[in-house]
Amino acid sequence: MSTKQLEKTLRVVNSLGIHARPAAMIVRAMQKYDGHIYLIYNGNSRNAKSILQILSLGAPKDAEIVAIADGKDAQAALEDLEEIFESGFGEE
Amino acid sequence: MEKVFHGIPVSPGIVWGEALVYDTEVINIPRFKIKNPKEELKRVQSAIDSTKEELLLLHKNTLENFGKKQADIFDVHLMVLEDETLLSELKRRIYEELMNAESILYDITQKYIKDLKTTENSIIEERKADVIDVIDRIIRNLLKQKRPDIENIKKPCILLSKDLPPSETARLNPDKVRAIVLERGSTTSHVAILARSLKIPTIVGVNNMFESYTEPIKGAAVDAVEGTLYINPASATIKKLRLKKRQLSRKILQYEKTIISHPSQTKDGRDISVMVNIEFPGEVDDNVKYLSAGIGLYRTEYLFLNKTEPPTEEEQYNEYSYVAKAMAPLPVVLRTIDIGGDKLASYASFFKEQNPQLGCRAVRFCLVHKEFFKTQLRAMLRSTTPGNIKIMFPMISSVEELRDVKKIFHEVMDELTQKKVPFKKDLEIGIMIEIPSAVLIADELGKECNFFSIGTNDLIQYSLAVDRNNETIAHLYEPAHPAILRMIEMTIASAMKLKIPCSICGEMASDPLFTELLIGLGLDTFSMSSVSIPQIRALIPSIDYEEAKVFAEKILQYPTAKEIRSALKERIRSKYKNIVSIV
Repeated sequence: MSTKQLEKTLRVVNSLGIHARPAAMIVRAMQKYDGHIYLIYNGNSRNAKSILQILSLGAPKDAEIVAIADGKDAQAALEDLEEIFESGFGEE
Repeated sequence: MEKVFHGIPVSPGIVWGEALVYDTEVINIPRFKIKNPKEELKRVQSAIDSTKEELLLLHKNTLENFGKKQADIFDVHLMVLEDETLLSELKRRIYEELMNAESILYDITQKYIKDLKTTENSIIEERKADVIDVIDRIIRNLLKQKRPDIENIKKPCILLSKDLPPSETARLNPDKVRAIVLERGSTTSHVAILARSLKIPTIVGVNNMFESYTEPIKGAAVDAVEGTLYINPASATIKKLRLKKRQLSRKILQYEKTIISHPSQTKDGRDISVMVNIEFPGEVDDNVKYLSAGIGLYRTEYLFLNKTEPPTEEEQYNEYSYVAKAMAPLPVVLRTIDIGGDKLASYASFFKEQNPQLGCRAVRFCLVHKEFFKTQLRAMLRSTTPGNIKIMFPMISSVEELRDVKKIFHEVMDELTQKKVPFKKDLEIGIMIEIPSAVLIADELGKECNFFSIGTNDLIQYSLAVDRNNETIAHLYEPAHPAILRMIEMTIASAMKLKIPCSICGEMASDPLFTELLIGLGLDTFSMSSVSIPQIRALIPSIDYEEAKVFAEKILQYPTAKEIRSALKERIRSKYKNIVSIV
């Protein structure tokens, strides 16, 4: 891969963790970007454009997740992701 | 050929007609080698396209009928359907393994389900049901099998299924589903409660009905008075049932005549109130208004099921105040949410409990989730004017717990007063007596509330340590157990001493076997599902309170449930044969 890889640490703040609705939110947002985007939690790395893979992370409240992105719009993807995580997926 | 099965009748009625086998999962997935992977991928694409159409339609209908929150779940389903890793794995493996798409899809799903299971996060784990659901749709489309959709059943039918979770039951259309027969379930399971309130004849606990019947199931006849299911019934069976059905409706006419000509009191003039238990506002009809003395138990849980988020204060207020106004001036007892245990809504619990029945349910859940509780209390309090509302708290086990609940209740009252929101300031609050500890300290609890209602379903389960849904021990669930009768006696005695009203709202209230006994123990208020009211109400005028007291005293002397049951049956045979024909 010629483009450089970027990294960002994110925290799950909503009380229910990444359940179906947040996972769908992440996928919907990430599908807009060209590069590969992965979420790493608990030693597992999962494709952020796949709802099945995100759900199988099983990330609860306060989980720390490392997001990795590459491609031209990697920076934008990670910033977008950060905003989504910080908003608690629009939940409490 | 006709085949007969037996189960437990939980909602009475006699019905026959077309059968619909409702199963949410294809059980036998075919496995075979393929020659042309390109053709196989075409088949996959067309199955995915059809599934997408189905889901878009479901999304649209749900949005129109239930709103955005409920429709959201189909967005998730659509996303699973178009999941890029799922599709690329499927394609790759079809080329590598040269096996049919159904079998590979099934294997891939199993892997994801296993992953979801290991997350130890129950709300995420529950989502595996959604994954299974979507994959099942694709597999069915590959197999060109139609899945029955519980909400969109077009033709009247008799629904046969292994089990129905409460969320599915709440979605079924009572105009089309004429009867329900399940392999699992018990008298007090939520399907049973729901079926009674929707007046759908229902039999549960019909063991192995699918395994032991291998011919195609076309028709069924259901005798949910006795608990008999006839699969592909013979014409002689239908004839027999038609006759029985006619006799049954004659019986109901006879009940109605008695009810019109006799007030709701014993032969010697003691007033007995027969009230109704409801689940939905829609159940309040003319029958409920004219046959009952009010709503003795409005279970509010169903408002909270089938949703990704709890209902708002406004949504709750609309439902409660509708019932209050429709029933006025008759009383309506609103019970605060009894969620937890076996009727969890997906947002309600984050951690899986080892033992939910003994866990964080009902007021315990509410004391942990205070804002959630306060929202419900605000909605309930606002609905107290106009109307005759009372509020009841379930699962109280100690005086401290009652005080904690009341503290929050008073906080909400103060907040409403400050905001000048009108509500009835002197409304009565009561508690469910359904935990043995509450029975033993009823004399103390009664000093701090205005009424009791005995919830026999849970009281029996907790006293006898029997999980009512566990089929292997379900026979130990015994309302006629002398310990249960003594507990009911104790509770009523405490209430009488404190001069507060005491009612009974569990299934025992609707069983005519116990009516005279309960009246003899001093009970004057019964609350039950509306289908049971005519019989009990017709029975009351032929009971003599003084005689009932003597009879109750005698019954309490017996050491075993068996002796008690046979004495109760004998009593019905000798005194109430004309009214009660169950024995």
